[in-house]
Amino acid sequence: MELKIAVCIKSVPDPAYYDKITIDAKTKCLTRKGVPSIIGKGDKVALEQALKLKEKYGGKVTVIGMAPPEARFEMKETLAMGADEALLLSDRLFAGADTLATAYTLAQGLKKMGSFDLVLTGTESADGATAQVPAQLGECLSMAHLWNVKQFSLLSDNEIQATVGLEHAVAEYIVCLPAVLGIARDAGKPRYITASGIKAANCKTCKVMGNAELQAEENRLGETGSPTWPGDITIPSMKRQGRVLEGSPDVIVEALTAALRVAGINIQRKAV
Amino acid sequence: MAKLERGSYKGIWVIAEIQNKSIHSVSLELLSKARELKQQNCLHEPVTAVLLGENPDAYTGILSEAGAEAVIIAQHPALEIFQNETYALVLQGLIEERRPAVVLMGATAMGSDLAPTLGAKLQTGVAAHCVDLRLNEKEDLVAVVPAFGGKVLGDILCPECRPQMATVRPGILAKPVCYRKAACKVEQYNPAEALKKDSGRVKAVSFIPEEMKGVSLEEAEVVIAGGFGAASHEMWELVEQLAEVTGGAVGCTRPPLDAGVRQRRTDDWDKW
Ligand SMILES: Cc1cc2nc3c(=O)[nH]c(=O)nc-3n(C[C@H](O)[C@H](O)[C@H](O)COP(=O)(O)OP(=O)(O)OC[C@H]3O[C@@H](n4cnc5c(N)ncnc54)[C@H](O)[C@@H]3O)c2cc1C
Repeated sequence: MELKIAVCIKSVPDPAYYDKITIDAKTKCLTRKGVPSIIGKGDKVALEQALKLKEKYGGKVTVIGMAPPEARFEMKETLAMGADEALLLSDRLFAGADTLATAYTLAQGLKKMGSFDLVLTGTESADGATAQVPAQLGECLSMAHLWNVKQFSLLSDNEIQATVGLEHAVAEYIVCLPAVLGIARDAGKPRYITASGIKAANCKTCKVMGNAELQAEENRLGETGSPTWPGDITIPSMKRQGRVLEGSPDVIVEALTAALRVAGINIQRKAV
Repeated sequence: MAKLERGSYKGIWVIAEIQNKSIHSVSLELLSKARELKQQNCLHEPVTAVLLGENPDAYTGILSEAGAEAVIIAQHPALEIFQNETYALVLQGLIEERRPAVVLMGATAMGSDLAPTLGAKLQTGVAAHCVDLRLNEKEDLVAVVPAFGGKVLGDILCPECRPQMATVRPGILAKPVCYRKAACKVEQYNPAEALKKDSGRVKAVSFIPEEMKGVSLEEAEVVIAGGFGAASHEMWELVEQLAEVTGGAVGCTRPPLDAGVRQRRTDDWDKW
């Protein structure tokens, strides 16, 4: 059995640089100057699942992303991890998309690439983090979809069994393929990139596609195609009172327990 | 995108959630918020709770106390275990028929999957993981969402599509108010017609509740939180120990999650 698997990869600003993100007081726009882009960990976990499936059953892993052209670099990274081909959807018309327009655009891109048995995404991106794209992508592709999938296995050519994390519970589902699965962040550890992986990536292609080629309905793209509109942005004051305790461990422990007691928190001594 | 006569969409609905044989606290928080919005803006339509499940009748009292003036109940064996597709189909039918202006859900595991699915089916906007809700002078919903790890707060509007949808995290809005002996209209809705559209691609096979360890983050009086400095196994062990002796819950920011020292508990969606 050969599996055709697609993985959605979002290029996001590196969270380690969030301090550098500022808001232009006049335009209310976010300035991301000097903030490098990366692939969020959650998306790498999804890619890892796809690569493992390919190793087990054979087939092909296609990576897709919607981002400015600079994200070619992140796409290359996925090829170095082991993906076979990449498609970067990039066009000014795609800019300002909310989750529905994003899901529509990704769905159109996937349709251009052929048919897939499985489409994997992260549960939520590292920046917008709405967690809405997986379900909406499933709807746009008219495929079955599950979100927060902790593990899954193939039952047959066209069926999987998946464990989904709910609150204080897990549920098991049997799902007919093709399906979109939002893979849980803790579903596995992404592999490291190897030197041979980087070498191999040089022979693989990352296609960049605009709407001239994609031919999606323009009124469903980007800002125009987005039912949600952003309004004002504000920076909430989150000042916290920090206090550094100094001295020997004994002194610090004394001071800490005293401070906690003052705050009304009682520490019970544990019987050892 | 369906651009609609906004005026024909009226009132605020809350999709209530049953968990462990009781109504999830966030549903009650949302009902009280909806009542507050109704009063502040002199709306006429009753605040309505919608409840799906197998035996939902027992819960109307608590929904009414929290602010529901009407409850719509859809009862069916197929709705016993949460299954995104069937729930979404039933709600889609109801919403298209009754036309609420605003539809709110908890940003729980269920709501985070169901809201975007429904949003895509209805081709309308969903504001994700909101921390506050208000209505502006045009009676449009303004949903406040956090971004970049809570560094900024942004307003999200959905001015041209209906209904306006939003999910809100548990424990963020004020605790529910108690409306005693309020009149509440209870109505049964037959979901059989909507369920006929179910493709049967996803079958729920089991539901296994997880044993709760320690105190839940919403209910905890004390929260011991670890951040970047605690993103190693040794440091994390100390965080857990301190939580145990203080009888507190454990919380964290992203670095310990990314480092894998803190297993994401199923109940702590995005509370960092
Ligand atoms: C502060 C802020 C708040 C926002 N709030 C909302 C809101 O409330 N409602 C709304 O509709 N939109 C909102 N957006 C817009 C939303 O973030 C964008 O639509 C974004 O393109 C996709 O959503 P996400 O990043 O939240 O994805 P998520 O749904 O969190 O992502 C889940 C997975 O989908 C895949 N994926 C998502 N985007 C892409 C992509 N561009 N390319 C490839 N794969 C992708 C990835 O695998 C990812 O792990 C917000 C944006 C910001 C910056």
